[in-house]
Amino acid sequence: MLSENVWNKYGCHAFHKAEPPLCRAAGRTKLRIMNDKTGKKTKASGNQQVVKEAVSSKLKAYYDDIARQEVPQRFLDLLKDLDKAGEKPE
Amino acid sequence: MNDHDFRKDLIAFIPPLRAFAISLTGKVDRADDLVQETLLKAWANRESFEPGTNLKAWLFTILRNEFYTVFRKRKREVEDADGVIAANVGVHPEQDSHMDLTDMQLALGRLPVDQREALLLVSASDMSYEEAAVICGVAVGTIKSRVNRARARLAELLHLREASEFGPEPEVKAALMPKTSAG
Repeated sequence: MLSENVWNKYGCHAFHKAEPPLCRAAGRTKLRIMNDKTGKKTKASGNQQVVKEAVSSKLKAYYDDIARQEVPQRFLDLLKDLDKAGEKPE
Repeated sequence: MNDHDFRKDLIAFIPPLRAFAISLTGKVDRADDLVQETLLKAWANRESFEPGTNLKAWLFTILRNEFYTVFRKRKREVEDADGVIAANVGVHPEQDSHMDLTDMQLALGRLPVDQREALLLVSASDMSYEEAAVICGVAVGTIKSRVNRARARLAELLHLREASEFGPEPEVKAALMPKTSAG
């Protein structure tokens, strides 16, 4: 068993020297996470396009439904009156 | 352009004007008031409209200006941009034909008003980014970014993001997620 002094002097260093595979493994894991992130990014941008199109098509359907409604009579009457009022009397 | 032709053109643009106004305000009666004001203003200023130029963009600009005039007057209704009043949206019976209409109205009501108008102009009214920029009085880049943000937010509100992913359903995903806090 290492005395307290030896541990303080060498312990930390000894651990790193003794366990290099762990450090390398940690490094590999980090790399793998980064690759996964890159992969997800590519997938996400393709997904973003699908979402963008889905939003646009739903919005357009909603909008066109309103635009297809009959023009309220009040607007036709209003414009008729305005047009009539603009006519110069003979 | 004589008055009769101008009147005919105005009538042709009432449906897109109403669609824009209803989507913008979330209320049919208020939207129709906006359309009426737009028609009155357009008629009063018909001499200043140059035939052959973009009548649709001209009318949309009038309607938008009118919307902001009313919007500013009724300070309380600023909350509408955050969807508080949109939750009480008045819906015509014929508009309530399927669930998506109400869902869409509610979702639009939750968008910030500048994003909502940009999205409506570009994605629904078939305006170009340039036309929308002129109508809103901002740079083209600003319109593009507002449209993008609005689309992304709308996708979240309509739960389209999850539905489009190839992973598990949201409910399944939620069940698989570890709970962050107990109780």
